[in-house]
Amino acid sequence: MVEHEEDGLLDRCLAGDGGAYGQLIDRYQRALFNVSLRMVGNREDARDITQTVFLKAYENLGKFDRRHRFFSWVYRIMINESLNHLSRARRTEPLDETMASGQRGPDEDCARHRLHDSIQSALMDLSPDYRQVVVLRHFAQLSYHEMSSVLDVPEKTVKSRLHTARQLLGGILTRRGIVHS
Amino acid sequence: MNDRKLQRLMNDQLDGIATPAESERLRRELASSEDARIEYRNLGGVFDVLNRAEMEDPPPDLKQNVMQAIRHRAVTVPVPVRRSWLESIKAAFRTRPAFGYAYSFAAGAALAILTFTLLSGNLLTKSGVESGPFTGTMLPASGLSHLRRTDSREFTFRGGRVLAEMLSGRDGLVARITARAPQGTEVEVSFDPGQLDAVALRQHPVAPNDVLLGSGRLSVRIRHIGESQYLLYLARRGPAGSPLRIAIHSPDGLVQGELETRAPGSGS
Repeated sequence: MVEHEEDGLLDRCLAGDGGAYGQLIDRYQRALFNVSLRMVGNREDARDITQTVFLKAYENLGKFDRRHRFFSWVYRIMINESLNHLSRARRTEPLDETMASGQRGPDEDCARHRLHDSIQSALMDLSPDYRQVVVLRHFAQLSYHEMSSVLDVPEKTVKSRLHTARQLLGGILTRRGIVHS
Repeated sequence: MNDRKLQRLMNDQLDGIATPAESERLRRELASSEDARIEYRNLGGVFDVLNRAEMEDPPPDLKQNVMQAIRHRAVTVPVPVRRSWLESIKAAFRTRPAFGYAYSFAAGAALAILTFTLLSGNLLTKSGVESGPFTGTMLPASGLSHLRRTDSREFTFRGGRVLAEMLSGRDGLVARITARAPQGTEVEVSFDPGQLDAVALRQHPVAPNDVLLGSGRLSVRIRHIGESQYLLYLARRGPAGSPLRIAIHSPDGLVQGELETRAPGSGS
């Protein structure tokens, strides 16, 4: 049903109906934004990356192979953009925080905020290869099969990478006292 | 059962994809091994923490920005493809032999200008031609920590904000321009080339904005959604410091201002 609807939206996009692409954005922006946020760890960068991904997907819609699922394709673009961003960020001067607007309001629950920060900082301690599998599985809720298609590696590789990533993450969280052994 | 198989069973169980037979096998393993129970509890802790992490809402203007960019690009005249450009030159060569001499002269002149430009520290860039962060001998190796902010101006307009800062040190100046502006906005920085030399330019992130750095002028036309930062490294040619002029041509109109470039403690 969802696939069928998506096909219809893609047909309309290719026929030049911008509104149909708006519906696809509505459908995926939350998941994609969260994947990017967890990959790069910064709201502003995640916003820019998500916007770039939607633009790139739109511009390349004509090249998209309709035998594959749209979401696999767009997730793949997202992962690549996030990884590119991370490697660029390593090479260039870090921006200072003068224009950062990602701070939460004062009414935000402190404990939740702390947990959020701890999880994010633990994720950032993983290498991007391990981080992406955790993010796709736990934040985008993709199945192993879907992850295999997004990452273009066999399911077996996805599984073993994810197991190792969870083990590493467990070690980091234990050392920080977030998980007690 | 070896460790690897046990670990796979634990992950499958917590992932909710273990078969009833696998669940039973895991139950038996856990019942017989204290180490396995500890490992399973730890792994469960990781799942628990990850499950407690909340999804965040995307910024409310995300969709609108994308749709605006799509509309903007839809009306942009496409850049002619290189093949037709080459073909037109080849055609000119075929029909008018004198054109060949003129073309050779023009190509040689262009090469000379490019060499001079690179050697003198002036870069001329355009998105798609050279959009990477500028590195190499012209780029100062040190960071910005030895500089202090001596002046700043903030320009706000509908849908955008540009922060222009002057960072000064003993050896030189850096104009830091941080822009988040609607597509089509042009940020122009101009200075007296008799007093200041543009030594290098660095941008972050590598964004597809149109950037033009010439003698006494840096111009950035915004094409990238989101924040872009430019570091313009300048060298003083003398003690006097004429100001750096900033002009922003946004859809709202023109806003402009100046940044002081006097050396710290010069008092003049």
